[in-house]
Amino acid sequence: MVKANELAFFGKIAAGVTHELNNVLAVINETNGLMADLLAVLDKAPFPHWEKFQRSVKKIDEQVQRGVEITSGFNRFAHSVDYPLVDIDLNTILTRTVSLFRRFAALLNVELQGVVCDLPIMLFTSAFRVQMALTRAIEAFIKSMGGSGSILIKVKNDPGAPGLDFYFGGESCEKVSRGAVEEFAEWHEFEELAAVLDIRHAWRTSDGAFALSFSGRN
Amino acid sequence: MGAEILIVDDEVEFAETFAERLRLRGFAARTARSGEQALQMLEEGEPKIMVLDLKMPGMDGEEVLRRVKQSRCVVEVIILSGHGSEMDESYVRDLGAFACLRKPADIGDILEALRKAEKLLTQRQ
Repeated sequence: MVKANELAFFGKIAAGVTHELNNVLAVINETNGLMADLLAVLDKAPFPHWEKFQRSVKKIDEQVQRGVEITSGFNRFAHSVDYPLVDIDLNTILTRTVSLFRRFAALLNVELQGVVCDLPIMLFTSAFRVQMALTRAIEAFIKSMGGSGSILIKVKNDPGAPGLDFYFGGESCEKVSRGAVEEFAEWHEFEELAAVLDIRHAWRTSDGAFALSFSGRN
Repeated sequence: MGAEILIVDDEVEFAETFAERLRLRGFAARTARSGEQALQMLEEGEPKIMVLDLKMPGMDGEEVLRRVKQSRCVVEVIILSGHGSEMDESYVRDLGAFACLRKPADIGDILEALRKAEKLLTQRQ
Protein backbone atom coordinates (compact mmCIF):
# COMPACT_ATOMS: atom_id res chain seq x y z
CA MET A 1 0.00 0.00 0.00
CA VAL A 2 1.10 3.55 -0.72
CA LYS A 3 1.77 5.59 2.43
CA ALA A 4 -0.05 8.90 2.94
CA ASN A 5 3.18 10.92 2.72
CA GLU A 6 4.14 9.15 -0.52
CA LEU A 7 0.73 9.97 -1.96
CA ALA A 8 1.07 13.59 -0.86
CA PHE A 9 4.49 13.74 -2.55
CA PHE A 10 3.05 12.32 -5.76
CA GLY A 11 0.19 14.83 -5.58
CA LYS A 12 2.59 17.73 -5.08
CA ILE A 13 4.74 16.79 -8.06
CA ALA A 14 1.72 16.10 -10.28
CA ALA A 15 0.13 19.43 -9.31
CA GLY A 16 3.42 21.22 -10.06
CA VAL A 17 3.65 19.64 -13.51
CA THR A 18 0.06 20.63 -14.40
CA HIS A 19 0.80 24.19 -13.26
CA GLU A 20 3.79 24.33 -15.58
CA LEU A 21 1.72 22.89 -18.44
CA ASN A 22 -0.77 25.72 -17.84
CA ASN A 23 2.08 28.19 -18.31
CA VAL A 24 3.01 26.52 -21.62
CA LEU A 25 -0.63 26.62 -22.73
CA ALA A 26 -0.82 30.27 -21.71
CA VAL A 27 2.11 31.20 -23.98
CA ILE A 28 0.54 29.27 -26.90
CA ASN A 29 -2.83 30.87 -26.14
CA GLU A 30 -1.49 34.44 -26.13
CA THR A 31 0.66 33.91 -29.24
CA ASN A 32 -2.28 32.42 -31.07
CA GLY A 33 -4.50 35.22 -29.77
CA LEU A 34 -2.08 37.79 -31.15
CA MET A 35 -2.21 36.09 -34.57
CA ALA A 36 -6.02 36.16 -34.38
CA ASP A 37 -5.92 39.88 -33.49
CA LEU A 38 -3.64 40.64 -36.46
CA LEU A 39 -5.79 38.57 -38.84
CA ALA A 40 -8.85 40.50 -37.66
CA VAL A 41 -7.06 43.80 -38.38
CA LEU A 42 -6.14 42.53 -41.86
CA ASP A 43 -9.59 41.23 -42.78
CA LYS A 44 -10.27 44.31 -44.93
CA ALA A 45 -7.27 43.50 -47.10
CA PRO A 46 -6.83 39.73 -46.86
CA PHE A 47 -3.58 38.23 -48.17
CA PRO A 48 -3.29 34.84 -49.97
CA HIS A 49 -4.46 31.92 -47.78
CA TRP A 50 -5.92 34.32 -45.19
CA GLU A 51 -8.83 31.93 -44.53
CA LYS A 52 -6.45 29.00 -43.98
CA PHE A 53 -4.55 31.04 -41.39
CA GLN A 54 -7.81 31.92 -39.71
CA ARG A 55 -8.94 28.28 -39.61
CA SER A 56 -5.55 27.24 -38.21
CA VAL A 57 -5.81 29.85 -35.46
CA LYS A 58 -9.26 28.52 -34.57
CA LYS A 59 -7.96 24.94 -34.43
CA ILE A 60 -5.07 25.94 -32.16
CA ASP A 61 -7.54 27.74 -29.90
CA GLU A 62 -9.76 24.64 -29.67
CA GLN A 63 -6.78 22.45 -28.81
CA VAL A 64 -5.60 24.91 -26.15
CA GLN A 65 -9.08 24.75 -24.56
CA ARG A 66 -8.90 20.94 -24.72
CA GLY A 67 -5.48 21.02 -23.07
CA VAL A 68 -6.77 23.36 -20.36
CA GLU A 69 -9.65 21.01 -19.61
CA ILE A 70 -7.29 18.04 -19.29
CA THR A 71 -4.70 19.82 -17.15
CA SER A 72 -7.37 21.42 -14.93
CA GLY A 73 -9.01 18.04 -14.33
CA PHE A 74 -5.70 16.42 -13.52
CA ASN A 75 -4.66 19.35 -11.34
CA ARG A 76 -7.83 19.06 -9.24
CA PHE A 77 -7.26 15.32 -8.97
CA ALA A 78 -3.66 15.88 -7.84
CA HIS A 79 -4.87 18.37 -5.20
CA SER A 80 -7.43 15.85 -3.92
CA VAL A 81 -4.66 14.22 -1.85
CA ASP A 82 -3.75 17.52 -0.12
CA TYR A 83 -6.03 16.81 2.85
CA PRO A 84 -7.11 13.39 4.17
CA LEU A 85 -10.68 14.62 4.75
CA VAL A 86 -12.45 17.61 3.22
CA ASP A 87 -15.91 19.10 2.85
CA ILE A 88 -16.76 18.40 -0.75
CA ASP A 89 -19.85 18.47 -2.95
CA LEU A 90 -20.89 15.07 -4.31
CA ASN A 91 -21.70 16.81 -7.62
CA THR A 92 -18.07 17.96 -7.83
CA ILE A 93 -16.76 14.47 -7.09
CA LEU A 94 -18.91 13.00 -9.86
CA THR A 95 -17.99 15.70 -12.40
CA ARG A 96 -14.27 15.25 -11.72
CA THR A 97 -14.42 11.46 -11.84
CA VAL A 98 -16.35 11.39 -15.11
CA SER A 99 -14.09 14.03 -16.64
CA LEU A 100 -10.95 12.05 -15.76
CA PHE A 101 -12.27 8.62 -16.66
CA ARG A 102 -14.34 9.39 -19.78
CA ARG A 103 -11.37 8.92 -22.10
CA PHE A 104 -10.44 5.53 -20.60
CA ALA A 105 -14.04 4.37 -20.98
CA ALA A 106 -14.22 5.63 -24.58
CA LEU A 107 -11.14 3.58 -25.48
CA LEU A 108 -13.18 0.50 -24.47
CA ASN A 109 -16.22 1.72 -26.45
CA VAL A 110 -18.17 2.72 -23.36
CA GLU A 111 -19.73 6.15 -23.11
CA LEU A 112 -19.53 7.55 -19.60
CA GLN A 113 -21.88 10.34 -18.54
CA GLY A 114 -22.60 12.11 -15.27
CA VAL A 115 -25.73 14.02 -14.31
CA VAL A 116 -25.44 16.36 -11.34
CA CYS A 117 -28.30 17.80 -9.30
CA ASP A 118 -29.14 21.48 -8.81
CA LEU A 119 -28.34 21.57 -5.11
CA PRO A 120 -24.93 21.04 -3.52
CA ILE A 121 -24.68 17.80 -1.53
CA MET A 122 -21.89 18.26 0.96
CA LEU A 123 -19.92 15.30 2.28
CA PHE A 124 -17.06 15.26 4.74
CA THR A 125 -14.87 12.58 3.26
CA SER A 126 -11.65 11.65 1.48
CA ALA A 127 -12.13 13.10 -2.01
CA PHE A 128 -9.25 11.03 -3.37
CA ARG A 129 -10.56 7.73 -1.97
CA VAL A 130 -14.13 8.34 -3.12
CA GLN A 131 -12.86 9.07 -6.65
CA MET A 132 -10.77 5.91 -6.49
CA ALA A 133 -13.76 3.84 -5.29
CA LEU A 134 -15.94 5.20 -8.11
CA THR A 135 -13.36 4.55 -10.81
CA ARG A 136 -12.75 1.02 -9.50
CA ALA A 137 -16.48 0.29 -9.71
CA ILE A 138 -16.69 1.82 -13.20
CA GLU A 139 -13.71 -0.28 -14.33
CA ALA A 140 -15.45 -3.44 -13.10
CA PHE A 141 -18.68 -2.45 -14.90
CA ILE A 142 -16.79 -1.80 -18.13
CA LYS A 143 -14.89 -5.10 -17.88
CA SER A 144 -18.10 -7.02 -17.26
CA MET A 145 -19.71 -5.38 -20.30
CA GLY A 146 -16.89 -6.65 -22.49
CA GLY A 147 -18.24 -4.62 -25.41
CA SER A 148 -19.83 -1.31 -26.32
CA GLY A 149 -22.35 0.37 -24.08
CA SER A 150 -22.97 3.33 -21.84
CA ILE A 151 -22.91 4.14 -18.16
CA LEU A 152 -24.98 7.03 -16.86
CA ILE A 153 -24.30 8.14 -13.29
CA LYS A 154 -26.86 10.38 -11.61
CA VAL A 155 -26.54 12.23 -8.35
CA LYS A 156 -29.44 11.38 -6.05
CA ASN A 157 -30.43 14.04 -3.54
CA ASP A 158 -32.05 11.74 -1.04
CA PRO A 159 -32.35 13.50 2.35
CA GLY A 160 -30.29 11.62 4.91
CA ALA A 161 -28.66 9.32 2.35
CA PRO A 162 -27.39 11.17 -0.71
CA GLY A 163 -26.00 8.92 -3.37
CA LEU A 164 -25.33 7.96 -6.95
CA ASP A 165 -27.38 5.77 -9.27
CA PHE A 166 -25.64 3.92 -12.10
CA TYR A 167 -27.69 3.08 -15.21
CA PHE A 168 -26.37 0.79 -17.93
CA GLY A 169 -27.31 1.06 -21.58
CA GLY A 170 -26.32 -0.13 -25.03
CA GLU A 171 -25.51 -3.51 -26.54
CA SER A 172 -23.61 -5.04 -23.62
CA CYS A 173 -25.55 -3.54 -20.72
CA GLU A 174 -27.31 -6.80 -19.84
CA LYS A 175 -23.98 -8.40 -19.01
CA VAL A 176 -23.52 -6.08 -16.02
CA SER A 177 -24.66 -7.89 -12.89
CA ARG A 178 -23.63 -8.62 -9.32
CA GLY A 179 -22.14 -11.98 -10.34
CA ALA A 180 -20.28 -10.59 -13.35
CA VAL A 181 -18.51 -7.71 -11.58
CA GLU A 182 -17.39 -9.94 -8.71
CA GLU A 183 -15.01 -11.70 -11.08
CA PHE A 184 -12.79 -8.64 -11.26
CA ALA A 185 -10.12 -7.46 -8.79
CA GLU A 186 -11.26 -3.85 -9.31
CA TRP A 187 -14.64 -4.73 -7.80
CA HIS A 188 -13.05 -6.13 -4.64
CA GLU A 189 -10.96 -2.96 -4.33
CA PHE A 190 -14.18 -0.96 -4.69
CA GLU A 191 -15.85 -3.01 -1.95
CA GLU A 192 -12.89 -2.53 0.40
CA LEU A 193 -12.87 1.22 -0.18
CA ALA A 194 -16.66 1.43 0.17
CA ALA A 195 -16.43 -0.31 3.55
CA VAL A 196 -13.74 2.13 4.76
CA LEU A 197 -15.66 5.16 3.46
CA ASP A 198 -19.02 3.92 4.78
CA ILE A 199 -20.56 3.88 1.30
CA ARG A 200 -23.50 1.48 1.10
CA HIS A 201 -24.27 -0.17 -2.22
CA ALA A 202 -27.03 -2.31 -3.68
CA TRP A 203 -28.40 -3.60 -6.98
CA ARG A 204 -31.95 -2.44 -7.62
CA THR A 205 -34.19 -5.12 -9.08
CA SER A 206 -36.87 -2.69 -10.29
CA ASP A 207 -34.71 -1.04 -12.98
CA GLY A 208 -31.39 -2.93 -12.88
CA ALA A 209 -29.55 0.14 -11.61
CA PHE A 210 -26.67 0.04 -9.16
CA ALA A 211 -27.11 2.43 -6.23
CA LEU A 212 -24.55 3.96 -3.87
CA SER A 213 -25.43 5.95 -0.77
CA PHE A 214 -23.08 8.03 1.37
CA SER A 215 -23.34 8.55 5.07
CA GLY A 216 -21.36 11.80 4.72
CA ARG A 217 -19.58 11.21 8.05
CA ASN A 218 -16.52 9.36 6.72
CA MET B 1 -6.06 55.50 -24.33
CA GLY B 2 -6.94 52.97 -21.62
CA ALA B 3 -5.37 52.82 -18.17
CA GLU B 4 -1.69 52.09 -17.69
CA ILE B 5 -1.18 48.43 -16.95
CA LEU B 6 1.85 46.64 -15.57
CA ILE B 7 2.12 42.92 -16.33
CA VAL B 8 4.33 41.13 -13.81
CA ASP B 9 5.40 37.67 -14.92
CA ASP B 10 8.71 35.80 -15.17
CA GLU B 11 7.40 34.06 -18.33
CA VAL B 12 8.78 36.75 -20.64
CA GLU B 13 7.20 35.33 -23.82
CA PHE B 14 3.80 35.35 -22.17
CA ALA B 15 4.14 38.85 -20.68
CA GLU B 16 5.39 40.49 -23.89
CA THR B 17 2.76 38.90 -26.13
CA PHE B 18 -0.01 39.66 -23.66
CA ALA B 19 1.19 43.29 -23.42
CA GLU B 20 1.15 43.56 -27.20
CA ARG B 21 -2.44 42.33 -27.32
CA LEU B 22 -3.47 44.90 -24.71
CA ARG B 23 -1.69 47.68 -26.63
CA LEU B 24 -3.66 46.69 -29.74
CA ARG B 25 -6.77 47.35 -27.63
CA GLY B 26 -5.64 50.80 -26.57
CA PHE B 27 -4.11 50.11 -23.16
CA ALA B 28 -0.67 51.39 -22.19
CA ALA B 29 0.86 48.08 -21.15
CA ARG B 30 4.34 47.52 -19.74
CA THR B 31 6.01 44.42 -18.36
CA ALA B 32 8.15 43.47 -15.38
CA ARG B 33 9.84 40.07 -15.14
CA SER B 34 10.10 39.91 -11.35
CA GLY B 35 8.39 41.13 -8.22
CA GLU B 36 11.37 43.31 -7.35
CA GLN B 37 11.33 45.00 -10.78
CA ALA B 38 7.57 45.56 -10.49
CA LEU B 39 7.91 47.37 -7.14
CA GLN B 40 10.71 49.51 -8.56
CA MET B 41 8.55 50.44 -11.55
CA LEU B 42 5.73 51.34 -9.16
CA GLU B 43 8.02 53.81 -7.40
CA GLU B 44 9.17 55.35 -10.69
CA GLY B 45 5.78 55.81 -12.28
CA GLU B 46 2.36 54.73 -11.29
CA PRO B 47 0.51 52.10 -13.24
CA LYS B 48 -3.15 51.99 -12.32
CA ILE B 49 -3.63 48.27 -12.74
CA MET B 50 -1.21 45.43 -12.11
CA VAL B 51 -1.69 41.99 -13.68
CA LEU B 52 0.33 39.75 -11.42
CA ASP B 53 1.55 36.14 -11.59
CA LEU B 54 1.73 34.29 -8.25
CA LYS B 55 4.72 31.99 -8.58
CA MET B 56 7.92 33.76 -9.56
CA PRO B 57 11.55 33.31 -8.61
CA GLY B 58 12.65 35.71 -5.88
CA MET B 59 9.76 37.76 -4.52
CA ASP B 60 6.56 35.90 -5.33
CA GLY B 61 3.23 37.43 -6.35
CA GLU B 62 1.73 37.09 -2.90
CA GLU B 63 4.48 39.23 -1.38
CA VAL B 64 4.23 41.80 -4.21
CA LEU B 65 0.46 42.03 -3.61
CA ARG B 66 0.97 42.46 0.13
CA ARG B 67 3.53 45.26 -0.38
CA VAL B 68 1.41 47.05 -3.00
CA LYS B 69 -1.58 47.03 -0.69
CA GLN B 70 0.53 48.31 2.24
CA SER B 71 1.94 51.14 0.10
CA ARG B 72 0.26 54.45 -0.71
CA CYS B 73 -0.07 53.51 -4.37
CA VAL B 74 -3.61 53.36 -5.70
CA VAL B 75 -3.27 50.23 -7.77
CA GLU B 76 -5.79 47.51 -8.46
CA VAL B 77 -4.18 44.08 -8.72
CA ILE B 78 -5.51 41.29 -10.93
CA ILE B 79 -3.97 37.90 -10.25
CA LEU B 80 -3.34 35.87 -13.41
CA SER B 81 -1.65 32.60 -12.60
CA GLY B 82 -1.30 29.02 -13.82
CA HIS B 83 -0.93 28.04 -10.17
CA GLY B 84 -3.42 27.97 -7.41
CA SER B 85 -6.51 26.28 -6.18
CA GLU B 86 -9.87 27.67 -5.14
CA MET B 87 -8.43 28.16 -1.66
CA ASP B 88 -5.62 30.36 -2.98
CA GLU B 89 -8.20 32.49 -4.79
CA SER B 90 -10.08 33.41 -1.63
CA TYR B 91 -6.75 33.97 0.13
CA VAL B 92 -5.42 36.47 -2.44
CA ARG B 93 -8.78 38.23 -2.50
CA ASP B 94 -8.50 38.65 1.26
CA LEU B 95 -5.06 40.16 0.69
CA GLY B 96 -6.69 42.78 -1.54
CA ALA B 97 -6.58 41.38 -5.08
CA PHE B 98 -9.31 42.88 -7.25
CA ALA B 99 -9.81 39.74 -9.35
CA CYS B 100 -8.27 36.35 -9.78
CA LEU B 101 -8.02 34.62 -13.18
CA ARG B 102 -6.52 31.31 -14.15
CA LYS B 103 -3.95 30.98 -16.96
CA PRO B 104 -4.52 30.58 -19.83
CA ALA B 105 -7.38 33.06 -19.59
CA ASP B 106 -9.75 34.21 -22.28
CA ILE B 107 -8.89 37.75 -23.47
CA GLY B 108 -12.57 38.67 -23.03
CA ASP B 109 -12.46 37.73 -19.34
CA ILE B 110 -9.25 39.70 -18.86
CA LEU B 111 -10.66 42.77 -20.60
CA GLU B 112 -13.80 42.59 -18.46
CA ALA B 113 -11.69 42.52 -15.28
CA LEU B 114 -9.56 45.42 -16.56
CA ARG B 115 -12.62 47.55 -17.39
CA LYS B 116 -14.15 46.88 -13.97
CA ALA B 117 -10.87 47.81 -12.28
CA GLU B 118 -10.69 50.99 -14.40
CA LYS B 119 -14.25 51.90 -13.41
CA LEU B 120 -13.49 51.40 -9.73
CA LEU B 121 -10.40 53.60 -10.00
CA THR B 122 -12.42 56.33 -11.75
CA GLN B 123 -15.10 56.22 -9.05
CA ARG B 124 -12.44 56.66 -6.36
CA GLN B 125 -10.94 59.77 -7.99
